[in-house]
Amino acid sequence: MEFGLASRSVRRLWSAVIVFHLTMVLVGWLSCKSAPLRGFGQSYLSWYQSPFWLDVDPYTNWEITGEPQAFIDLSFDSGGKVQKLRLPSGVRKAGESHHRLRRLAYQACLQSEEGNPHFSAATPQAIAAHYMNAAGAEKGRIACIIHNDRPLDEMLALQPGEEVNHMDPYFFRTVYEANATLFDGAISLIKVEANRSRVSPMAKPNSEQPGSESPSGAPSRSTP
Amino acid sequence: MKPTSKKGSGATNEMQSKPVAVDATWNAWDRYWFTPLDPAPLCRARVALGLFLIYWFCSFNADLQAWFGTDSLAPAALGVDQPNMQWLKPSLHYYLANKPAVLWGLHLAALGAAGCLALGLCTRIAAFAALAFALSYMNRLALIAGPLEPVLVFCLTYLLVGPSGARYSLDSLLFAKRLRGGEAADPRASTGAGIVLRVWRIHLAGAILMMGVSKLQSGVWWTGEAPWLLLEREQSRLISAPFLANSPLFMAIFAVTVIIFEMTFPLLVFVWPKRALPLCLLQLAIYTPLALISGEVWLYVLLIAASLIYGKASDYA
Repeated sequence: MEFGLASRSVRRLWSAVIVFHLTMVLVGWLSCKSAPLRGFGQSYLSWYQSPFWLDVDPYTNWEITGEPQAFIDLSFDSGGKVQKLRLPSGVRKAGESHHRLRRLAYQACLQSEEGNPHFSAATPQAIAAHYMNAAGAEKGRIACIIHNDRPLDEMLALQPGEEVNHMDPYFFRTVYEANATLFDGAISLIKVEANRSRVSPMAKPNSEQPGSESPSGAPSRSTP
Repeated sequence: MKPTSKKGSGATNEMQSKPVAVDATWNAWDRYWFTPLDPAPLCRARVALGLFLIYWFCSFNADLQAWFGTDSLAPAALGVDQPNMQWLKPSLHYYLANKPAVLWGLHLAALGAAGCLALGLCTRIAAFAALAFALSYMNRLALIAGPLEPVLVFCLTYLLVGPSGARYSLDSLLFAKRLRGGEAADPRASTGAGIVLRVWRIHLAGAILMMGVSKLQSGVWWTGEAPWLLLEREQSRLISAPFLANSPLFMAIFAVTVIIFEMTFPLLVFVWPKRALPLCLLQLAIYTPLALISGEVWLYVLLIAASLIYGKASDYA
């Protein structure tokens, strides 16, 4: 790639290209953090930025702590037997599959929680369709659950001998729940509206409170 | 008359100094960007990124249909934020969902392109194909893209633009030898390699700086709680270290070290660019525990692989 770089005018042209490219890179980064610039970037600069992923998504987890744990709980009838599925299942495995499922579950929760009218159920719908089609199930239920992070202060306040209960329902929050019906290969979700007055999402339930034993029975919250 | 002549000469000097300053600036710019560089760092990065890409494509082997097939887990409508802008993130995979055989064929072709890139066989074509395939995969799964994807795309783009096959490649052994009548190719320093390496170095340093800035925007990195939060997430962490819960000071020190490293990375590579090996070792020392507790192993492997562009050819000798 020499492109006649001995010539001064060619060098000027290349200089303009370098300045333009680095400016676009910078605008891509800045627009990641600034709403007006993001709009500007999407409207006018996306023809250059998008194909090269220079328009970094604001949800890109650059600081790596921004995504709390998220799960998709799926239950459906398959041959008269109720199958229950949790995505991603178990602890992290070294491969990328588990990592991708984790991000998918988080995105499903994020979209549902934000109540985006366009996309709120598209991801849960795709997930339900995938597993229900594979199992040949017609009816099922899907829930998007976020596991809030446990603050360090709380850990430091633990008494000696007291153990951490990672499955404490206090930390689980159902952000979306729906009944799924598969008919002729097409899936439809009917959102389950939880009773808001029952338990506030962040309130720590008493041990006697019903529905607080398991993550799937964690206090639900309807999306706005 | 004296003052007038002084004023006159001052104005003349000022008029003369302006073009001189412009010329000096242009010369400095010209010297920085257009001084030829040895393409060896670019070629090293090509080998590392080619191997990385082979792994990345292979990671889809087990669930290719689940992600790209008819009943994909990721809805096609969410490939981009706005459906009417889908042409900006094009993907072949949108059209191959119901053709499993073609999907597998494409997958094997992608693996082949990544292999050729690592080996440096028809490097320019391989780099183009590898970038196109990688973009097709990423754009289809833009919904679940993390911090790895934007970094991978620009790295592959620079490999395509620069003479990344000039060294450590089959191209340099086979084709160049044939062209030069039996003599091995002389991988001379080139202006093209210089431009691409410098732009890439700035871009990568900026990306790592951005990671540091993002951490500063988050309260948990200020308080030093971030490593704890990552360790607490059994869904993503690769190691468990509950005993660290009793060492908040240790975690705070680690969090601050990470931020300082990322914020000063541009200084490390541009102000102290003499040796690349200490930089790689420093990156390994900081990114290894971070990768293990966050689970973002491949992001940090990619950052270390891409950082091979820093330093001189002799640094790794």
